[in-house]
Amino acid sequence: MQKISSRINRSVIGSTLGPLICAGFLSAPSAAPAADFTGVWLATTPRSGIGANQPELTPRARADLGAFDPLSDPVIRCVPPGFPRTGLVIYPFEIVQTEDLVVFLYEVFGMVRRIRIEGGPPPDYLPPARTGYSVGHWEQDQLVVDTTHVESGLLSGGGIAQYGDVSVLERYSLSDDGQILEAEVTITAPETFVAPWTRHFTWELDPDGMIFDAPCDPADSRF
Amino acid sequence: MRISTELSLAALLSTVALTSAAHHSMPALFDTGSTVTVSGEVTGFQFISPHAYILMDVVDGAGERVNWQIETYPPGMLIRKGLTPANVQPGQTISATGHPARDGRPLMRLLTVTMPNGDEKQIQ
Repeated sequence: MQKISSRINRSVIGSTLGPLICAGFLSAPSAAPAADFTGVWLATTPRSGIGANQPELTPRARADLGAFDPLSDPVIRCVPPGFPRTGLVIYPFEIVQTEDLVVFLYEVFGMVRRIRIEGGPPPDYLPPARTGYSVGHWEQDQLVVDTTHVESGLLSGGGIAQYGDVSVLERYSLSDDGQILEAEVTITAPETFVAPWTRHFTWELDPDGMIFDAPCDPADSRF
Repeated sequence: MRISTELSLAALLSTVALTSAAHHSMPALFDTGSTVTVSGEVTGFQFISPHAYILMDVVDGAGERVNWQIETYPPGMLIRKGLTPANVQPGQTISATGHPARDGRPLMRLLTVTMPNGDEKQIQ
């Protein structure tokens, strides 16, 4: 309950100060979080990931999908999935945030994604990584995240591939009561999708929730 | 005969919705157009990632004991749903309904389970 009122208060403060900041009466707290996303978030059901609203694939992606062997999915051998696949599945995550950082702690393989608030461009040389390089900024009480430098691999467990040209734009916001986290996610991947693909996701706050870890041993795989 | 197979419209409809719910490609490995129900004695519960497995002995139509592997969500999801080694233990009897493996092995992807105390839980 305390958490909810804290969220509402922050929102109220933000909307009160906003006009003053715009008018130049106050210095803009550019790095200050405009909303509090802290907590454990559970995907609302039904959950469709990439299964529904199938985007149109490029000939290359269609061919790879047709030849996909599900037994080749590294996840079966306990290799963590990459981004954005991590965010498309039903499994929960916890968000921890500071002024400079929003951190997604995914239950899937204990993956971590750091979003650098007002983080600036990536270093001149940055190799692609499983979760890429994410920079965020606040647009009023909406968190906008740009992610690039994502390594190639599987974009979905169903066999849609990504080829290293993926960029993802996420817009996160809270419902008025702070209980629902909403995201509009646009995946741009010219080698995979003919056009950018946008999905809307929601999660509900699990006020007493926690994220669980569990061992994964490739030897236990049935496949 | 404790093993029954039926085509399920609900299962067909849920296929699309759940494609990405599993780590691996569920429709490729499991026949998501059909369901199978087995009842028997629990022999083990592997509470592991990326998928947990309930192991159970099922007596087939010929009177043979067959050890089924019931694949389901990883541990975190099961803790939230109340399906854990604390309430499904070796020696207890459960009933499991799910999508059978395409290759015919005694393996399924769990949808619903009747717990040892008789409660039915929808898992996926």
